[in-house]
Amino acid sequence: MNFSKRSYSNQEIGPGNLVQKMALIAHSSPSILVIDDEEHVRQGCRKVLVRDGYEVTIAESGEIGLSLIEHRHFDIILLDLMMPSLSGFDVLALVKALHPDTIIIVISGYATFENSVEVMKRGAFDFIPKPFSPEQLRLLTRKAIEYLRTMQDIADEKSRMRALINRLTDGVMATDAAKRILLANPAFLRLAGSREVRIVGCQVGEVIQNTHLEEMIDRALALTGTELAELVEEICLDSEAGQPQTIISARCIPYIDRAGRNIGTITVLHDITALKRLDRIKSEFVAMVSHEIRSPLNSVLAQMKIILDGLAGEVTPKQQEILSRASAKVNSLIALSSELLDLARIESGLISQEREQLNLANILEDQVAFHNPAAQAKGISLVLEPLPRLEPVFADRGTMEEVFSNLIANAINYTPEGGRVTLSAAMESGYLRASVADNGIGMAPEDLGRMQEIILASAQEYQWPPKIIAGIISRESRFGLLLDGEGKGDAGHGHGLMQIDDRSFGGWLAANDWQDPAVNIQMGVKILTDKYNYLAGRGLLDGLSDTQAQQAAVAAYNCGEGNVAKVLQAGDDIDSRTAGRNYSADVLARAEQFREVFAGT
Amino acid sequence: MSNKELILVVDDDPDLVDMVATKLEANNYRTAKAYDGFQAWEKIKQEKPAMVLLDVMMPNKDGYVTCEEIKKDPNFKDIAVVLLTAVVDNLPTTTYTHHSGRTTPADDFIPKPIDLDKLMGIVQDNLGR
Repeated sequence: MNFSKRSYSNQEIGPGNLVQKMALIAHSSPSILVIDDEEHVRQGCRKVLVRDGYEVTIAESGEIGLSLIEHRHFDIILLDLMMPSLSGFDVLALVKALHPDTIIIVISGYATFENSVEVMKRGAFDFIPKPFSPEQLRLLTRKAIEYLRTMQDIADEKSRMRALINRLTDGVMATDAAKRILLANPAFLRLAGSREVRIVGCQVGEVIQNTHLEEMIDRALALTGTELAELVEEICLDSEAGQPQTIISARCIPYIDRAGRNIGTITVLHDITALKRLDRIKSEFVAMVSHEIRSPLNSVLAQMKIILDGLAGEVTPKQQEILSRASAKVNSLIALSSELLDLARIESGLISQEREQLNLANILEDQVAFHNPAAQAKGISLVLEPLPRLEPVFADRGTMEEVFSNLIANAINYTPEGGRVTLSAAMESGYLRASVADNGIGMAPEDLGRMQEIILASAQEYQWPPKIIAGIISRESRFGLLLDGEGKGDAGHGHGLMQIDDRSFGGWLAANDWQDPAVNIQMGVKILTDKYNYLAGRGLLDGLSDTQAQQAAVAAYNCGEGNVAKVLQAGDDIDSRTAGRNYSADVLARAEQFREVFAGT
Repeated sequence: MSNKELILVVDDDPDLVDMVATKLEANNYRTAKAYDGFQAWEKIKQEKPAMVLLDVMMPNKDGYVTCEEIKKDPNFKDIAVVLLTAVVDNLPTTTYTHHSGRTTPADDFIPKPIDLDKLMGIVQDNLGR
């Protein structure tokens, strides 16, 4: 809106001429045209207004007035409504067409309510009835000027804002509730890969071909005032051949009005390609360094172990002690470098879960297909029961695949030949329950309870690594999954196997299934030799008869001398921990038996 | 336990190969050594070991590829292959993934750092079948 159009051009406003324009508003005098067929009214108005510092032009008819406004812009026109030939109504319409910014104040002796309403409807600013006092005229003119100034301020603010948004390197787009574009700056169009020029009023989908962005806007529009949230996503944009892929961070917020209605969205795009690249380089560097540290440490550890085992000559007790301490230090260094690697992988996105809407049915089908050859090789039938309609779950695909792969692989490993492993899934009160079951003999309900008890009581005592304890803490859900889990009682007969850190724990469960002493012994000893699980192995051996215990001793001996030591230690453990635990006299007796049997070998 | 079976130890770190071999020999096995996938393949052809302990991350030719080749060859497919690996070998910079470990037709694997006692158990299990 311009006070005086001839003073400056109406081109796009840059910061320079914006300042110039503001100066004009402050210093130039507003121009007023008085159109009235009555001489005394024209002169009266001029006298009053010139005195107040306005630049005043007069016209005695509508025709003359129109010819004047064809050539120049007036800020205000005082227009008589009732004139011969061209009426005020006609002039009003023509002025509005030529100069929509001009303020028109209608003056007329025929002040009727209908006329007032009619001229206001046609765009007049106000209406002043004849006769009027100079003071009334002054008041009304001042009011019009203030209105003009306000409009000017708003326009300036708008163009300043527009200039600012257009110069942002981040992309900005605003839409209304119907997903029509209200505003989109050049950076947005560039980042969104649009070559459209006339975008205001277009549907988002017509301008940008990116389903992620469109979905974000849909989601933002679906939000209500009470759940106001900012949606943030990283979006990889399709790049042209040979160009590196662009990664942008997109933020979308709904625009909620005072009444809490969602009336549109604002989307901001930020190019993070360079950041991501730097981040990846850093992660790769950390991973590389960490790996270069690990490899030699692994060798050092093996070297110390060989010396400790006496394979490089006799070792004195003092040397043994020093080497053991050194080994512990090397081990913690290896653990540290593993953590660095983990960190690098978290940062590179390999570990961080990328959750998505997953169809678990597909995953189960894929897993069955994947493990089927291994099952067939053992004559085990691996069956996926007909699935009901499953709701999609929000989860990380890789992690889900790992969970089922572990369960199925273990079920196959520890189910006797000719057995059966069954996968099933169903919806249960809003949750999806999946189970991997086998037809092993299973566990009695009381054993199930005992197992949980043992795990909990022993986790810290045996200093299981955090990973295992975490597995135990989450056991409620895992048991549900693993044990076909009624958890209430009849769970036991037919269940999957638990894999916490490695396969041995599952081995314990499996061995319990088989109720075959020979297998139990083999399993028990095998598990016993595993550093994390000898409690489990011991639990297994607890139930052996004397003859079986002897068999176990032989089996352990065949596995190597180290195992005998561990089995002995297990016996000692039973003995030394009686204070804290309620082992039955029977178990204690067996511990004693163990020691004797193994001492004998 | 059948004594004096030949086990080929393959790792790009000669020190580690030495230590694993020493431990195996102490447990009554014969050993052969190789330091990359190509050398391993040569030794396998020459000496046809009963078992190969195979590092995954090696220059020139990695353990997965070598394992694949052994298992595809009708002359050698019965050789037991134990991969020396760790989940942490899934470096973002490499093509090694847990997935390729899972799909490699190895008979067993042992994570690094290698627990030599545990390794002996695995060797025994796989040769004693």
